[in-house]
Amino acid sequence: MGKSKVLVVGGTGYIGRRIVRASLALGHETYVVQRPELSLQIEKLQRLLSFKKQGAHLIEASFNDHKSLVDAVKQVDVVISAISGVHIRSHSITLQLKLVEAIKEAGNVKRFLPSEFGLDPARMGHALEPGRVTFEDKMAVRKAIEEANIPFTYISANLFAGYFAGSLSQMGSFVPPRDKVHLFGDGTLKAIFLDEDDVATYTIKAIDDPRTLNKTLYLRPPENIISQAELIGIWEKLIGKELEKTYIPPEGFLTTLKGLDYKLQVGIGHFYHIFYEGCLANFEIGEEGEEASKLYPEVNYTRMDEYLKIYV
Amino acid sequence: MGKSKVLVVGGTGYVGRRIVKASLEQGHETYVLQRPEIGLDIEKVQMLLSFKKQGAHLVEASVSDHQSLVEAVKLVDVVICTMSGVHFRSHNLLVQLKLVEAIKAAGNVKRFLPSEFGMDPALMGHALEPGRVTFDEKMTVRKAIEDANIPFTYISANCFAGYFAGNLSQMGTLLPPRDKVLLYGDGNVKVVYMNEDDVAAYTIKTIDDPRTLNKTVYLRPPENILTQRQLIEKWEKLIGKQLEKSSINEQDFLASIKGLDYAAQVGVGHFYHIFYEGCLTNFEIGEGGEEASELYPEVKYTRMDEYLKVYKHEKLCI
Repeated sequence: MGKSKVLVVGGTGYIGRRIVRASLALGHETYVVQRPELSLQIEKLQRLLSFKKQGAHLIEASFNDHKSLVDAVKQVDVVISAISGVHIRSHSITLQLKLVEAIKEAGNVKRFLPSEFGLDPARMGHALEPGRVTFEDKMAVRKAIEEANIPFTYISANLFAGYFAGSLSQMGSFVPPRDKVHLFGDGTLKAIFLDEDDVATYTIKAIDDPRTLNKTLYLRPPENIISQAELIGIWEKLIGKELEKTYIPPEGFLTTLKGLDYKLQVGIGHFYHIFYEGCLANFEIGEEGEEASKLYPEVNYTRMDEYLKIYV
Repeated sequence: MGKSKVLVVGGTGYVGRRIVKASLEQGHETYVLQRPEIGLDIEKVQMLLSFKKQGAHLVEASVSDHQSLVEAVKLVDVVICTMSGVHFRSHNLLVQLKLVEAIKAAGNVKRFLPSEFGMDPALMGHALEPGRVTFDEKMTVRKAIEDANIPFTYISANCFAGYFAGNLSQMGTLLPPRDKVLLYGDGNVKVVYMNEDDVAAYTIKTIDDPRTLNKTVYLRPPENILTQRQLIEKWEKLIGKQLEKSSINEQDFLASIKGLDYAAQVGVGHFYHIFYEGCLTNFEIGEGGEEASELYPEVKYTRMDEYLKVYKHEKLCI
């Protein structure tokens, strides 16, 4: 397949920077939006400049300037939005509506990948408040895309390993415990963990694939469909020690919602759906979906025992 | 020279991460302090893990737990501290006093490099308030080091290019201006600009060098001793366009301090000493000092015309 021209919006973010790197690595002509507001943020600026040294092009554009967005979009075939797409952050997703307007007006974009990269919002209509706001916002973006007849691929990326596997899914830390661990319920519900670099690779594989046109691409590599208890078992084997386990029943977990700030309530709601309802793995993929590891078997995805080794 | 065991405290910071990288590249056995609080910051955790993948060792210790610091320090020959050592941030420098206590108790450290990496605080006794706080604190740390007879090297690294060259020394941005540029005075005061990666490379060169023992090493590579005007001319040559220049005199610059918040006042004070008084270049290096590019001519430091190239704006093909 010929290489595409790809624009990444949110390229300095947690998943965005990996998408930029994957796009460059797979040989695409890669453009990254540089927002004027970034000019005082040394970390983001240096990251952008390092993308440039690796061959990416920086395009100055602002969400407050419609024409600059249209001009940026006109440079490329594919637009990927990675705006605050990680778990537990649910702000700014609707900024993408301005991006949708720009893509609609430009008229040249062959594929748009909005900021998803988590739970499939189409399946989360029943989600608890206030966590449901994430899914409602993403569905509002989807609706705008489809009404504008913009060709799309939605990436349902499940759990980022840096957030959920490295910590053994403990809240409040990103490094694994060595003595005690909390399990949600009996810890046997299946979840799906993905190395963020694999998320980025699968994403870039999908951008010009006709099989993923107007589809939802689910990232469900079979050996990474594991329960929390299995994940903990992997870690125990790696460190040669059993952790002291505490089991939290669903009622106990939900009562922690009261008194927390908004952001934490959002996070707890998401945790509940993942670890008590099993929402990542409790459905069959239908006609509107495809599975990434089947479409791209050449991607040698990181298993969680390999992923956790670096934390030992 | 045999390789050293190096502990970097503040390894995830702006200059710290470059020091870790330079230490690994120059073949030292490199340890990075991992504070317990870091577990809550995904960016720092991932950075530490990437150091580990490159061969560094992570050592868990807390600056509020003396014994853990002593244990960490006992693992190594050299301790380098980069806690909040960059310009415009002047908090936490005194936390190093706990590190000094630990180094003293451990007794094995052959060299300690405290968090300096800017203007030489020994020369800044006259500095304006409140910017002087940075220098007062660094001098407090130096005194503790010398009272404890800890072998040291102080790195006087001058202006970080990411903060002072990329923006042509304009305040309020880190990117070069497109059309107009403000000169401090006539823009003819000499300044020293350093690529941060070169700061790190020189730093790691000094750590086991007897010539730098109990000395201050000044980073003054000759071709990076430039006036603000010369820096701007390099940029103008790169982009093929002249910028519209205006000038702000000393009195007006200082008057702008009023009404600013504390951190901005610190910054304006530092800018004043650098760009109006020329404090980076208005002295000769004496017996207590050495110059890095003379000691280590093999380091091919980044000139500022090379440094600025990446900031050139690409034209969109519309």
